[in-house]
Amino acid sequence: MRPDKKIAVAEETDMCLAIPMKIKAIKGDFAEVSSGRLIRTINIQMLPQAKAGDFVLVHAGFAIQKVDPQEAKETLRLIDEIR
Amino acid sequence: MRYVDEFRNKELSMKILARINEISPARRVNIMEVCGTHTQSFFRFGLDKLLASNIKLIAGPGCPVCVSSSGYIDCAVKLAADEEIIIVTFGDMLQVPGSKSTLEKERAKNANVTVVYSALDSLKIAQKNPGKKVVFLAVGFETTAPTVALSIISAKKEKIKNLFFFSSLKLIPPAMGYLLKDKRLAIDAFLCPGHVSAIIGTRPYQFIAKKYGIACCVAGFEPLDILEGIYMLLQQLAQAKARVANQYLRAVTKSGNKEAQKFIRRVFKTADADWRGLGRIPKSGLKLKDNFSQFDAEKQFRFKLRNPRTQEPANKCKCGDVLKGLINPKGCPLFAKICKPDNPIGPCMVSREGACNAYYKYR
Repeated sequence: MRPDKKIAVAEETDMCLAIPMKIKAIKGDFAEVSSGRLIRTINIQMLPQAKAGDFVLVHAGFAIQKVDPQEAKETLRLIDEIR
Repeated sequence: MRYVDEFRNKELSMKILARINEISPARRVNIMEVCGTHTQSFFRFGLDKLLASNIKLIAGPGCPVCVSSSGYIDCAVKLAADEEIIIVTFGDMLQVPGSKSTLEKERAKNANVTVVYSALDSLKIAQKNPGKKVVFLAVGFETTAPTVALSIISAKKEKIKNLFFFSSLKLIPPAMGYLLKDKRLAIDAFLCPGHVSAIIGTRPYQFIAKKYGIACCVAGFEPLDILEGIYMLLQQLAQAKARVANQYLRAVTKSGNKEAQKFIRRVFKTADADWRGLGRIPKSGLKLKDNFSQFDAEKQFRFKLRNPRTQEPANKCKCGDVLKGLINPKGCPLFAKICKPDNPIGPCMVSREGACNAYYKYR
């Protein structure tokens, strides 16, 4: 999984890039999140409803939005149905 | 699901591409991708080589580093020269040229310039250096604005006295509105930025579809996202009915992240802002509200930005036209000859999200 880590680190310097990461644990305003082998502590004040197990978009040390698993599946399904 | 690899599926990509090429009109179609991250992804995944040649993606002004005015950089450079000041910034800002210098050059001359990943890091730096004044260069769009707002709120809560924010935060929809007023601009559709929209939602783009009749689609940044976004735009063009479509449903809703918007409103007010290459755009920037003025670098250091129009570098750099989508980077006389990533003349070559940088790297 090493390349994963490399890519994530390189990409997160992009100004508007946000990467999906999974919440491991929440402590107050902060959460421990992971993507591959990359683990970070991020601020989750913008997402008061977030809970462990959720995927969130991480930008500049903050979770900016939850990733909706249902909608993600739906998007892939619709793309598969394009013909 | 990890929400990355699934959206890089080659088979599905080829499927959408075939469909795109089927429904695309014979004429040239100009799609402006507003966000620099779209520009990067587009080339990185080789989508430019796969799309029909009459579908042109034009890189817009959506790279916050690229549109920082040289007046802003000059002020930062001036602050960096003060031994009492530590400048804290995102890495991309180091090479952005001001009228005389860059932060990187100042750093080589011993100025105190520190690169961070998050605005929150500036609080720790201020606490560790009580004898210094710490200035955070707040650059970014709506995606970054709430992260800065929350950092300012934290600084107030922790009663930090030696931290100041120099805001060049900017708003995307007013800039799009400004572009649409330029009659030379021939845009058929906008691919709207996914992560700005994660915060603001799809609603703020409505005026573009309604007033200007131009198709909009918010899209994510993986290859499937971008391709589906283009497909959805072509569908709108085929039906000749402009609306704001949303491809990035897993992260973007109609009204966005209201909590984040609340933090932005608590700390910032809208103000006119200077965009490099575009000039001054009314109500397109964010400045600190009065009840946070103790953290406002502009109030603390009382410098005035000079008019950016009169002080653009006097060379042949065409970043302004590139940002408006009037020419592509190859249309600039300096591109790849003098202006390269290791010697950037204009801001579009500096940032990884800049159109010229992407063209240079991938073409």
